[in-house]
Amino acid sequence: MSDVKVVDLIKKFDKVLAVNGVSIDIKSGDFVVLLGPSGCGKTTTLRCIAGLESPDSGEIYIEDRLVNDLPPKDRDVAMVFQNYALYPHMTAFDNIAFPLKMRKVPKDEIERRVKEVAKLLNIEHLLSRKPRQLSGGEQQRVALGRALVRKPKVFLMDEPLSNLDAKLRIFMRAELKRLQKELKVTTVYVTHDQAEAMAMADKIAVMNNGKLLQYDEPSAIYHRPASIFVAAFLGSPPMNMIKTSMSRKNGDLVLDAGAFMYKLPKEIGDLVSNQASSSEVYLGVRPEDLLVSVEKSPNSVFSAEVYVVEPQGPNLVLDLRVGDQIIKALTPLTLDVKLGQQVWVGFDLKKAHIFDGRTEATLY
Amino acid sequence: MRISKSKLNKIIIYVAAIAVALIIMFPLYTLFMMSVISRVQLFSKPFNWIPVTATFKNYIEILKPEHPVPVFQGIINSFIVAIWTAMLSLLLSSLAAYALARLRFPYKAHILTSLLSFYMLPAMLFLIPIFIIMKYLNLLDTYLSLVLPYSVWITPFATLILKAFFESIPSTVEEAAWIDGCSKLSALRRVIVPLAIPGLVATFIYAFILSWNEFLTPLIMTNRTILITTALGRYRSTYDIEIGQMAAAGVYSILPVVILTIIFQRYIIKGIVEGAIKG
Repeated sequence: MSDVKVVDLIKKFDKVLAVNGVSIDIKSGDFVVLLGPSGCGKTTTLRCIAGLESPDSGEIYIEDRLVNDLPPKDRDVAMVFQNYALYPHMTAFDNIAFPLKMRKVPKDEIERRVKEVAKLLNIEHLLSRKPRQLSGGEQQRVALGRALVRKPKVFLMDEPLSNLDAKLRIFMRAELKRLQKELKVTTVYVTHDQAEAMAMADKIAVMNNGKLLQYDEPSAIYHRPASIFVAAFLGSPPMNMIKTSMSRKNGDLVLDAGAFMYKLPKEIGDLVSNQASSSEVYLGVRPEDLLVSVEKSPNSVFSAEVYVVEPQGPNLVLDLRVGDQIIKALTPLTLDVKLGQQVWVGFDLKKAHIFDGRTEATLY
Repeated sequence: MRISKSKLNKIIIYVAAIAVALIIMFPLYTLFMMSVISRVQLFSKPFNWIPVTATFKNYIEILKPEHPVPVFQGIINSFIVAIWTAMLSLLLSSLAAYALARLRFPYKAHILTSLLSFYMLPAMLFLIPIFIIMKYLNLLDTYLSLVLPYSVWITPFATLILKAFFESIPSTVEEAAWIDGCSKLSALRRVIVPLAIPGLVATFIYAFILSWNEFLTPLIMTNRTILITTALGRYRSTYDIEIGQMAAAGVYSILPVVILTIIFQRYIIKGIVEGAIKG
C-alpha cells in the first residue's frame, strides 16, 4: 500500500517551471528524502503534498484518496518548517497543543498527549516558555512535538535541521530517524545535504531543475547513479568525472583522456558504444575507489602529479593533476606523498561508471 | 577629567532630546498656563511666565450647559466620529494590508503605488466634490459625512503601515496554522491577529488622532453637529475674546489624545518602528 502518491506533478510560478512532471510513490512507513540543490523543486513538491501550493496539473494521493482540492487542514499531514514557524505568542505547551485544540480533543487528553510528546523529546521542563525564550535546538524540538502530537498520516519536513549547528544537527539526525522508525509514520523530508539524505532515508528522490532524476534506496543511488548529476551530487568529495573521447583500436573500444588511454573489455565496450549518443563520454570514479600508489603496479592505469594534500581524520584527500584535469582521491593517512610527486593511480572498472557526454545519462 | 566617547554621545543625545521636548512642550505649557491664570495676569506687562495663583474656574465655566460654546458636546461628537473612523479604517486597511502582504494577484504593484500617490494628494482637493456627494446623499451635518471621508483619507496610509506589519510575521507561521487544522479565516483570527495587535492598535490610534484633529472637513460638512475643533473656532468673536476659556477648551481637546497615547505608548512605538524598518 502506498501512503503518498504523486503523479505527473507540474507547478509553475509565473513563467518558471518549479516542478516538471514529478511522480513519486511512497510506501507506508517509509522515510523518503527529496534531495537536490536549491531551486530544484523539492520544497515546492513538499508544499504541494502539504496543500500549501496547488498543482497546475497532476494528482496527489494520500492513502489512496485524491487530495488535490483538499485544504491543508483536511489532509491529516503534519509539517516541520525550516524556521520552525512556532506561534510566537503561545507557550511551548500551547504550541504543541494547538493542533489538538483545533481538532477539539478533550482538554485532559490534550494535557496527557502533550506531556507524553514532551517526555519523548525531552522538553518537559520547557513547556511554560515562549518560543523566544528557547534556543534553536529547543525550538526545533517544540516544532517536532507539534508535528508528533497529532499522530498524522504523513510527516512533512522542510530542511528541519539546517538551522542547527553542526554538532546538534548530527545528533538530531539520528534522533529523528529513531523517532520515525519508532512511530512508523510515513515521512517526506526535504534537504540539500546529501550526507543527511544518505544517513536518514529509506529512499532518496534526487531532483534537479524541477525533474525527478532518480528515486531509489540510498545505496543504489550511490553505487548505481542514473546520470552525471546524481553521481556528482552524492558523496563527499564528489565523484571524479574524467572527460574522454572514445574510439576503436583494433576492434577494442578505447577511452582517450588525453593523459592516458583506457581500454574497455569487449562486452562493456559494446554496451557503451551501442548506447552512446556521441564519441564524448565521461569516466566516473569515486575518490575512495581510486587506488593510489607510489610505485607502478599491475593495477595502475595512469600516472598523476600530487597537487594538494589535505589530511582529513583517518584519510588523506589528494588533489591529483592528470593532464589538464584535477581529480580527487581518498587514501589512507599512511600513504607518504609530497607535493609535486609522481604517483600511480588505478581503479576497478566494476566500481567505475561511464556517462554519455551529451545526454549525461549513465551508459555503464 | 576625561569623558569616554560613548558617554559623550549619550550626553549629546539627552541634551538634544530635552531641547526638542522643551520646544514641543512650550506651547502646551503656555496653553495650560493661560487656562488657569486670571484675566488680569493674562494682560499684565511684563508678562509673568510663572503664575503665582491658579484657578480652574474656566474649566468649570465652559462645561456649563448654558455656555454659548458647546465644548462638552464637541468632545462627545468628536469622540464618536473618531471611534467610528478608527474602526472603519482599521477594518478596511487591515483586510487590504493582509491581501497586499500575503496574496498573489495581478496589478499588486500598481495598487500599492496608487495607494501611496492618493495619500500624497491634499485632502482639500476632494472637499467640494465630497460636499456635493454628501448633499446628494442627504448626509450633510451627520456623523457619516465625516466618518466616510476621514476613512477614505486614512485608509491608504494605514494600509501601508499594516502591510509592513503583516510582512514582518513569517508566512510559515500562518502555513503551520493551516496544517495544524485552521481554515484561512481561523488562522487569521488565532495566529495573525494576535501577532499583529501592536500594529492594529497603533493604526487605530493613528486614525483616531487624525480624525480628532481634523478641522476643515467638519467646518464644511457640518453645522449643528459641532465637533471639538469647530467648537474651538467659535471662540472667535467680534466684541470679546475669552482667552482663558478658549485655553481651557484647548486643554480639554487634547486630553483624550494624550491619555490614549500614554496608555498605548508601547504599541505605538512598536508600530512606528516596525513600519519604518519594513515599509
